[in-house]
Amino acid sequence: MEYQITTKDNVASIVFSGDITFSENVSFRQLLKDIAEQPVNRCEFDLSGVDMVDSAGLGMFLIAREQADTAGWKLAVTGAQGHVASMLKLTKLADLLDG
Amino acid sequence: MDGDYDMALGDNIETAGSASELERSRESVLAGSLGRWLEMHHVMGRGYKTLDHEIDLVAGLVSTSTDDLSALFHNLIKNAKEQSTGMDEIVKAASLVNLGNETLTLPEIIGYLEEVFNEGIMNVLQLAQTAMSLVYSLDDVVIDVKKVVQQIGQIEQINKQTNLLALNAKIEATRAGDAGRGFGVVADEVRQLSQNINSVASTLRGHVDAVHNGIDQGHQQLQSIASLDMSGNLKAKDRIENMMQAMVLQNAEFQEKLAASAERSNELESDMSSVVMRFQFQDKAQQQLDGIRMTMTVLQDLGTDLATETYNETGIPPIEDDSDIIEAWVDKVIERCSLGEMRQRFVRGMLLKADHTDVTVSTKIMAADEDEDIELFGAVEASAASDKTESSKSKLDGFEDDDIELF
Repeated sequence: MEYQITTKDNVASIVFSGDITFSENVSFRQLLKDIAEQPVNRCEFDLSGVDMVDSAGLGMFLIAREQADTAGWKLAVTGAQGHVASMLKLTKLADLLDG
Repeated sequence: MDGDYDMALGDNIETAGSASELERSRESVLAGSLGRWLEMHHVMGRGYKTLDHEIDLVAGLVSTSTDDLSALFHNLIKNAKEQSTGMDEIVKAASLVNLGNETLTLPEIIGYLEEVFNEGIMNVLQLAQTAMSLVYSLDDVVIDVKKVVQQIGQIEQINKQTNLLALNAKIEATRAGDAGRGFGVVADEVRQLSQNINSVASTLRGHVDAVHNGIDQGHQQLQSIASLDMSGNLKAKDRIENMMQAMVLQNAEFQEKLAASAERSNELESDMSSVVMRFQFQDKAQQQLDGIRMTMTVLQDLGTDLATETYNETGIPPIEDDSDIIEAWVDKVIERCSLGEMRQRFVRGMLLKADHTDVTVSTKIMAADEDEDIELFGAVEASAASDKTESSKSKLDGFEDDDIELF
């Protein structure tokens, strides 16, 4: 998994590419650390470049959302398609991650 | 018969010599004519009686038939209602499930299943989140473990120094000879200590490695918990949703059909009530038949009045019922009526007997008479009237609204 962060007006846009699965947990944690170091009140996860998400990936999204709640910023997930979109719909995470 | 009298008149005129003879023959001719009129009046009286009885039978037939039909239609209405109720119950039952002490509707069942499914999904997510949190916590532990390892390394480093120092001290002590003997002992002790610390450090390292391995194992186990391929669940959820939708659609179709059936049932009821109301024609028919009978009575009375006068004036003897003359008249009537054989017998019996009580007509007899074109109710389509093979049976059994033209 790879990601690119661009921040503007306290809004961080993160573009992902690759898969978001268990084996990417170290990178994802690093991302959360990177976000925590910046003053943001909103983060947008762009998943258009993501092919595959497993339950671990979804668990990590939930961890991100927890961090958002604690730190006081909003999390929005956009651009999901195909398998990823189905997963988000099935688990009703799409509603949850609509900040 | 008339011809005979004409000839007799002619003969009388030819052979009459005097005016009084002419006058007498004229009188006898007139008397003969009057006599024949009186006979005809008598026969017409019997005819009227026959017709009157016939009308009575018709009235009775109509009354009985309308009663029977009315009863049948009421029964039909009742059955239609029951059928409609039955269908209503079936549809209701089809969309309910009985669970002993509770009854569930289809939407409730579907809702429950969806809830259960979603709960399952939620549990999986919860598990995944917790597992990943654990992974991160373990990562932090590993950091600390690494620090511990580092520190152990430091201990070992320090120990190495200590050992070297002790070695150096031993060498100096030996060089000092006896004066350094005590110092040499201390140096030995320090070296021993150092070795002890070394083995403790080794043991520590072993334990920490074990901890590290344990954490690695935990990591692996968490991976197997947290990373589930949920595409199977996705497919299942889709399929379940399709099944639910199909069930809901089917239920809706049932309800639609039920509503349509109820409507048809109402229409049927309404139509049949209209039919039952139409049977009221029977009253009107009865009235008209009564009118006919009254008119016939009036006509007969007119004739009877005149006949009585004639009897008084001419002194002609009253007519006997069973005479041959009357029978001849009856034959004439029958000859001119287009009646079938059976009806002929019936009519003859009516005309020759004084009472009419032993003649009965059932609907079956009427129905089976294939020679008759019985037109009970007004005009029938010309095509049906002309087709003699179309028996009265079919007319009476296949009762259609078009055939009733009383008004």
